[in-house]
Amino acid sequence: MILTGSEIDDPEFTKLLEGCGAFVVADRYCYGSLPGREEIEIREGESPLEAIARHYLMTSQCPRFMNKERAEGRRKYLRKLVHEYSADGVIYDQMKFCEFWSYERVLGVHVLNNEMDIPCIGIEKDYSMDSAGQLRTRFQAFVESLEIKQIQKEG
Amino acid sequence: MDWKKIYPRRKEKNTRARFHDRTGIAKHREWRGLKDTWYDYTQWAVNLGIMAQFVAKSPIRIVRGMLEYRWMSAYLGSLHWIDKSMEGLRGPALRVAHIHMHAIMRGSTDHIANMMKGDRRFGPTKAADKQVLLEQAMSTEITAGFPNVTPLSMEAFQGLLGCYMDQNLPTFYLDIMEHYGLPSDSCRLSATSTGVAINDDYPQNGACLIVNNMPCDSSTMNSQLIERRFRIPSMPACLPIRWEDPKTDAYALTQMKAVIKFIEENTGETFDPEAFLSRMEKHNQEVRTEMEQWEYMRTPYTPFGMTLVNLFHVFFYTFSGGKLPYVQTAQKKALAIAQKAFAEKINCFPKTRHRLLIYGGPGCYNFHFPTWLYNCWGLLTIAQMDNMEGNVLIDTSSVDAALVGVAHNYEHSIMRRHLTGGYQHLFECWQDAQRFCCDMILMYDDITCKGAMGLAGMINDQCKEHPEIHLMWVSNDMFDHRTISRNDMRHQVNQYMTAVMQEEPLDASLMDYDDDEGW
Amino acid sequence: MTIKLGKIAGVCVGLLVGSMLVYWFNLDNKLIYYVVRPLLNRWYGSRKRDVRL
Repeated sequence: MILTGSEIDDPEFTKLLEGCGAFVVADRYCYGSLPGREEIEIREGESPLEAIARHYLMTSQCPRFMNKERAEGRRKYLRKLVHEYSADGVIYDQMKFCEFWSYERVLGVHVLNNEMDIPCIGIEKDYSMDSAGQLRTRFQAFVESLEIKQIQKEG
Repeated sequence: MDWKKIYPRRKEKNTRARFHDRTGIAKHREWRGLKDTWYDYTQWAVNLGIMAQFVAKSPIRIVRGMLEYRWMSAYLGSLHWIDKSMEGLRGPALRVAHIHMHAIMRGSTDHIANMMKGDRRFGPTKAADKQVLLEQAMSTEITAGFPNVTPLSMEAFQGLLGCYMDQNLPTFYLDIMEHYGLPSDSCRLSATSTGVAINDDYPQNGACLIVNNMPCDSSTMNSQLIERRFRIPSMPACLPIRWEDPKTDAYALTQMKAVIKFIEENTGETFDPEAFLSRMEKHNQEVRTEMEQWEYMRTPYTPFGMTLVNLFHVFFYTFSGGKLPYVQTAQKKALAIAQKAFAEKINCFPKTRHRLLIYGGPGCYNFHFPTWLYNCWGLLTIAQMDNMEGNVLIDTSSVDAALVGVAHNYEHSIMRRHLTGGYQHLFECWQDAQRFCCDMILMYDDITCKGAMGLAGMINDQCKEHPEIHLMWVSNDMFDHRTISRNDMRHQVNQYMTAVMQEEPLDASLMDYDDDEGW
Repeated sequence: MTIKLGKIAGVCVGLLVGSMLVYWFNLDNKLIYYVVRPLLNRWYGSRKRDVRL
């Protein structure tokens, strides 16, 4: 599973998901591994500060980048990750009250499912892990649906 | 200043009896005395004439639009809406309100007619090729250098103004958006605009679309969903967020030039510097007249107040920007009345007990709240936060300087400076209360506006530094009357006025009534 | 000629009185609220729209 979403920094969330039978192969959170841990290239003639600023502007996947190309680029980036990490599905995780990710989740789930044919669900959760029971049910259902899809494919 | 001497107390009796319960439809129109009632009747006839002219501009397309778009039917209630805006007005205040309203009616009907004329849904139309769609809070100055181009506001009539007209209109679109998974705690205005897009209720206008990086999170994001419905090129005008820093002017200028280039490429028109600068001079004239009006608003003899003082400003900021000659005519006529009222010391709002400044994200479904405040409690709304929108004098010494001025005008729009983009409303509400000699501030608390919510505690802290000004919070849900109804908003004021101010209402029949089924 | 002018004056007076009655009794808004808008809402509800993200 690939996880994408807002500022999620709670390892318990990943444990919860993996406890439901999924394996998180990559995370694309606001401060996650991708694109957060990618190398920052310092070009010739560029100061480190300029390189950081350019990198943040060019590679950020924050939904705040509102022009059409960047918006569509975020879904294409997820599709690329799905292929690169051989993921079976994507989970959009929106932190409650984050308006950027609320809209991004709505649109992203639709585009990935209906236009890119990538299984995807979206969840909305609080910063804390209060609603673990409900999440567990949803994740289990999603994992089951992926397993059924796989069986049907093989059959 | 002893307001009791200037505004003697008066009481009305049972004005609510004039209305049908729950629907808010009046059984008969307001009796204002022979002279004012005759005047109101003639202005009603003028408004009917404006509406007839509107239909005559393109009758087939306009009728088709009415049958196609749900939001258009809300505007059939315009006359009811006008009546509600004028409730309680007499003399110079009534005349000024009608002058402003005629300009608003003309501008709005022209706008909708242009939308229908350029709607490709009703067949091929050349008008669309010279139309440029502008996202909310983008005024028309950027198209001033293209005299043959018609700027159209993309969301105003489907969302904001539609909500003013009919509180039940936006709930239809909100439900669509929530059905697709958008949380109900996000900004209702943006959610409504997105619901309109999902329901395919935007006219298919325009050669191109210009969106903007409004600091409002929802507004930024809803552009991405709305653009999916428009099959025309679009670009974001990304104005500096840190606009107070003059070093950002160079960036703002490049953005303005990029927008101009975009319009040229998509409309086939060429930017005309002379036409642009000439329009900016007219824009400046509008701003100067507004500033002159503010001088009268500071006095006890102001004929500007309640609902329309704010709406007229928003109207000419968004739709005119020097473009509409009847705006300037309306301003001059209204100013002449204000000068006369001041010279003759006419108390245009005799029921006034307190002078009120309104700030914050309003309950748009309760557009006539200031009217109710005046008629029930004698709280005269002198100005609202929207009055502070724009008001930038543009340097017309060169095209570049003027373009930077246009950018500043956008940067001084409501959400860029207040509520979400900036924190200026923390200080300006107190400064404006003093500027307009107000002894009360009504602070709207839009429960879905997280930007404004974040500063609520600081505003409360500041109250301790301003004991001479009463601050009253009124919660609302901006576009969704089902969460906090109009009556709930009234209750909040009633509680404050009875418990804190220890006052009795001017008209007890207005304190508590249900108008959920009304427009 | 006088009769024609008389007829025109009569029509004008009739229109004036009629419009004043419509104005005073708020017949315009009552018609729209109780008749026109419900019909329009029913019409909108019956139409199929291209509802999608």
